Amino acid sequence: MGACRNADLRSQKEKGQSGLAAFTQYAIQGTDMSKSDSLELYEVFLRSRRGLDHKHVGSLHAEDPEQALEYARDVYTRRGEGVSIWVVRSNDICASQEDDSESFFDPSNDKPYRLATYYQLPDEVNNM
Amino acid sequence: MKAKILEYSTRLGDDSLVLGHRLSEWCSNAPFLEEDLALINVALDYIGRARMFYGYAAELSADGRNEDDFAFMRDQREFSNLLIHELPKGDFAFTMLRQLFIDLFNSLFLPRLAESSDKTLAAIAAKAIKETRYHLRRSHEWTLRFGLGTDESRERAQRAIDQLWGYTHEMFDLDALESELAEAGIGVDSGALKTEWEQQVSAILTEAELEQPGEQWAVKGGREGYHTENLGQLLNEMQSVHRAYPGLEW
Repeated sequence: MGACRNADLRSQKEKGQSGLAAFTQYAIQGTDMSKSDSLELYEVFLRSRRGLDHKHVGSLHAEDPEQALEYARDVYTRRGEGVSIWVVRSNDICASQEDDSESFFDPSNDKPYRLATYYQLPDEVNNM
Repeated sequence: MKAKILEYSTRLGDDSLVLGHRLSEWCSNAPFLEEDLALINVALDYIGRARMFYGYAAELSADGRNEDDFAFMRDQREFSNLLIHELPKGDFAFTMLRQLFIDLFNSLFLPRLAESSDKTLAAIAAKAIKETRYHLRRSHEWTLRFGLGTDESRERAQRAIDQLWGYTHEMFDLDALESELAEAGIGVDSGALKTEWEQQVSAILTEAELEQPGEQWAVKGGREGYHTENLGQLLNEMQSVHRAYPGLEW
């Protein structure tokens, strides 16, 4: 309840599977079974142009941050999408949970006075 | 001289195309998804390079041939790639160690070619240098992962080094044509790169705690069109569609 949980949902899901299910999944994909153990999940953020913010574009598996950066380059910037890349271990992201959304976000719905548009400016105030 | 530059550009195109095709064989077969995409990016860099070298050769030939004719309508004896490029892809360690040897070579070769008095060759090289710098970063890191990884990864890397070593000498061998072009300031004297290449290989193998190759044997013949049986099989597959439907556009 309200606890900070990491965003690594994919890997949690994988860990939650029985050994046989995990084996089958990787056997079908023809992928090394050890992948879920040895490779970590990373989130990838790209800055598409100078002056813009980094935006989340997806995730990938890699052995360490340096390799994650290179794979991000290979997987997410093949069509000239970026000028800068950040990668972050998914496990290092503390994410809000769906269960918390009522207590997190609903209370702000009835507080319009927090928006600038709520206030009528006196005529004397120009160019605000 | 024009005919000689045509031949030289064709050779460099053959090296790029054959290696690019070998790398493309990993498509959907690489150890995991991310590496699959990364390897195929490298394959595409090489195939793009081949197109530029063949395109220039076709232009010089002025006999109506285009880049596809160079890639798909020549036989094994007419291909002049160095043998190291045509060896089967082997396991992943073999593929990456071959890349290491070739990337290091290219990182020395291309800056020299970029100074060629032939403007087209120089421009192709200048574009390729950036690609090669990234390729080398990858093959260098993979070599470290193999060497410092598990017993099996180290064994496989060591085996690859020993299998490949005899094919590396050919990269530094110049024939009459290459010597003449090097002297004219058009081609590269690759023989002069050997010492530096060996030092760099040695430094990386030491860093990866892999053993220096001991065996001294050398195979060559690629530039003259004498190939291993592997090239015939590769061309057979690579050229089959074009030969079945010549001139088809899609």
